[in-house]
Amino acid sequence: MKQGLSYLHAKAPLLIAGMLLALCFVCVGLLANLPGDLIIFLLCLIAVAFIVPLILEYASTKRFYRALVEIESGNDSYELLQALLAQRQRNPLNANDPSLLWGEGTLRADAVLRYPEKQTLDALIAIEQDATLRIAEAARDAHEYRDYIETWSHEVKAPLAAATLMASTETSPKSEAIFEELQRVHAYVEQALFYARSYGVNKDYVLASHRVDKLINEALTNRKNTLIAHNATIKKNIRPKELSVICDAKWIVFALGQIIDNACKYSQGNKVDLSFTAHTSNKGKADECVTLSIKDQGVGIPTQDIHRVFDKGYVGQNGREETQHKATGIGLYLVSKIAERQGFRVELTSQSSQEHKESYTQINLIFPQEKSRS
Amino acid sequence: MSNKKRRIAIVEDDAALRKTLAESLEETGYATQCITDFKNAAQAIMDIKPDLALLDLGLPSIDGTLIAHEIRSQKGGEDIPIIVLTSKTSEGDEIISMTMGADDFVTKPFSLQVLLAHIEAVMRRYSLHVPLEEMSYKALTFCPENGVIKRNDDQAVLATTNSCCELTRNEQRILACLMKHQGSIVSRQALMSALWDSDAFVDDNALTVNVNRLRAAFEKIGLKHYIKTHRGMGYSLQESTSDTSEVPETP
Repeated sequence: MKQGLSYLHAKAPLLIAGMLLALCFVCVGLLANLPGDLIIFLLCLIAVAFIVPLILEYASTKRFYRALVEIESGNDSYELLQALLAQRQRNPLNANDPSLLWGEGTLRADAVLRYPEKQTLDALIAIEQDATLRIAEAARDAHEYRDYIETWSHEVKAPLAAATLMASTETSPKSEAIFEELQRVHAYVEQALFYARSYGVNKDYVLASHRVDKLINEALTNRKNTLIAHNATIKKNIRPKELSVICDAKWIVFALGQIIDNACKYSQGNKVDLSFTAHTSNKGKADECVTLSIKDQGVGIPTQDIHRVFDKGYVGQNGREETQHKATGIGLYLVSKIAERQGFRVELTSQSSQEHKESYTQINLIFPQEKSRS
Repeated sequence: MSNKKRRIAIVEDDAALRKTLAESLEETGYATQCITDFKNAAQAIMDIKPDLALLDLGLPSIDGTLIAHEIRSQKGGEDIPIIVLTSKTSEGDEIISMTMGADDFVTKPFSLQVLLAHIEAVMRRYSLHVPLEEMSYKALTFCPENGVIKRNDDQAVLATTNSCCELTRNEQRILACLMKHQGSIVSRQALMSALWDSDAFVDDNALTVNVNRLRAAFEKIGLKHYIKTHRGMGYSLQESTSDTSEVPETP
């Protein structure tokens, strides 16, 4: 029924034209004082002339789409369908190419029945195969590129390690500055590597129990120079002190690093206030979990943007015209991807400085405890 | 106090890193020996019998983990501390190398301070620990081994009832830094950085508080004006008539 209505909707111009024509004819007939029977008879002729083709076309279109839905087999040539589809797109009112329907000069009933659908089906299947091949090729290219990034990041760490060690052996201001810059390079290399790994089914992680305070300490130490330069105040409140979660330490430390980076990038004034809290919720129950919260008093995120923060490429503003470094926009995206992969949840709440006097951004990482892991 | 230099064997394929490791470790006071024949590295280490071996995991054509395992499976091999250097981003390799016999791992890139901390920690586990030397400046002596400061001049007994004072970990770290650069200015960032290395994530205010506590400790043993504040620059261990420099020194 719905299909019939949508078909009529599509043919509306034609129907309206027909009804106008009929109306005109009735008016003319009445004015010309033609007999009523004649008017009605001719009106019926007009109706048939319009309605029959519509019915025929409806029937064939319905068959076509039914067959389309049942695409399962077939492996004949598809060039004809590509031409058919192209023609269909160019001339939507002239759905079927008359030359094909007519076969060798005459309208063949079986051609109407089989020709369009079979060739349409075949062509669609062939197009699908072609598309599959191209997707496979693109996937392979992307996979090779990610492998390259993996190798590259491993190779680049050699000169990076040498330079970092060299810069750390001297205590001149220049060496300290160079050390800091090298830490930044290392952070970007890590991000590139984790980004490359965030695709696909990379199972390169090891789950073990880790103390939350140790994970936080490692993340803070990795960002030592940035945090000190940003005049950071760190608060930690972990209860109990030995609280642990099941995770792959490297990935969590990396995720925390991204969150810390954001806190520095989108800070308020020339200060960073970071507080880490961790506690167990729903203790003893099936949904027991550990919540690790990271809160900063930066410029926050406007309400309308909050649902977009985990999107790839989302870059916030921090109130000033330019951010010190143009952000890649994939930090939080990676955090959400890692969460998916490792089995924990990420939540973000924020109040932006544009809308509130006290602005903040809080990110919660919620780890299910061992018992509730499936 | 032992005068013998402790020897560290270095197995690292990247030439620049190997050279820097050797140079900076020697500057710190260790003797080093670089091994470049990686296929026979395990045997070379057994021959040298170093006080510690630094083993890179990413060696060409041979897995560093296997070298560690080979060392451990030989007689006398259990006594050699092994620290593994890795640039991998997954914990898997580290866990495997620990299972195969490594004592500790350090992830590249690392600073010299971090490496030294790991080396000293592992050596301590093997009782290869040489007590840290005392550091002195004028009338002040600092014993890093037990974190105590004391006067070493004749005034000790006469001036105060306290001849020594114990310092907190943070105060010890700050003093060690100032001692190492006695007479010169150490920046606030450098001091905070040293504290952060030991997981004390102090901010600017906390640093000021800690330095003042250190000054108070000095006063307990009767020493005044040993730590000078250089406004906008940092602190120095410098005996003077006041705690602050008159004119902010321009670099």
